[in-house]
Amino acid sequence: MGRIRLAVIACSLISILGTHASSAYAHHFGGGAIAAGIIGLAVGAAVDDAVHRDEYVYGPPRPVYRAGTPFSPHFNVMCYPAQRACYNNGGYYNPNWSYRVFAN
Amino acid sequence: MNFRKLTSAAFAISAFCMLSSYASAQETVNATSDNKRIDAAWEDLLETEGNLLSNAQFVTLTNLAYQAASARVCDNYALDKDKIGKELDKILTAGNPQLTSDQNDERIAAILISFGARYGLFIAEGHADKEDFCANGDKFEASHSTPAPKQK
Repeated sequence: MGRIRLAVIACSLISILGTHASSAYAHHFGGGAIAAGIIGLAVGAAVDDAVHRDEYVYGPPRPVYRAGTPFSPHFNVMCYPAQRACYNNGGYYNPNWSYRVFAN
Repeated sequence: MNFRKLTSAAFAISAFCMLSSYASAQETVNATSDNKRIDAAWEDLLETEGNLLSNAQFVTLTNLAYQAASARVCDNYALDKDKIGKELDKILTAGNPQLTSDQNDERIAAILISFGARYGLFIAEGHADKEDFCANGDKFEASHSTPAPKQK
């Protein structure tokens, strides 16, 4: 799949997010498309299981991610390893702490 | 699998998450006193994702979805489509070159589903306390991986 096609996909998705779904798009919602997406999620589940991992397909296995329990890196922040995300106590998602804790 | 199916699938799941999560968002939020995360909904989503992406890629994907949801829920934000499109494109194109075309399509579909589900869950969370959710966006600082929301 070429970069141009991927760019089209990304831009199309962003366009969908930027506008309400048109009736034309709604017309294409089908069981097949949704099922394809669900099947796609199995990729993530399969990769998580080193025993069943097809190394030829996915390449050398990364260390299996074992999500830990939620923890607090700061007095008013709670982080959720399974989501790779942090939230403010009493509030919402905190992008900066999420980046600091999980992306570095 | 063509790109219309991919985007349709992502949007369909996103819509599903919004509908299913929104209905229970308020009661879930009330049951979780520490923050406004919809814990049960996130856990159902996350248990299927495993190691689809690296930690850094997941953080970027989540940040992008959060920004998209902020622009959808809040009147004071606009979506910076170019920047977000480029960041999303980086993740989509970072697949293993050994993947066949069909396997790569599956990978991309899974990523788009993950993005759409995050988008939907953040929208659901945002509507539980819209004023606070939108004020939260004001605190956003541009990270190394994602652009900040663009104020109108």
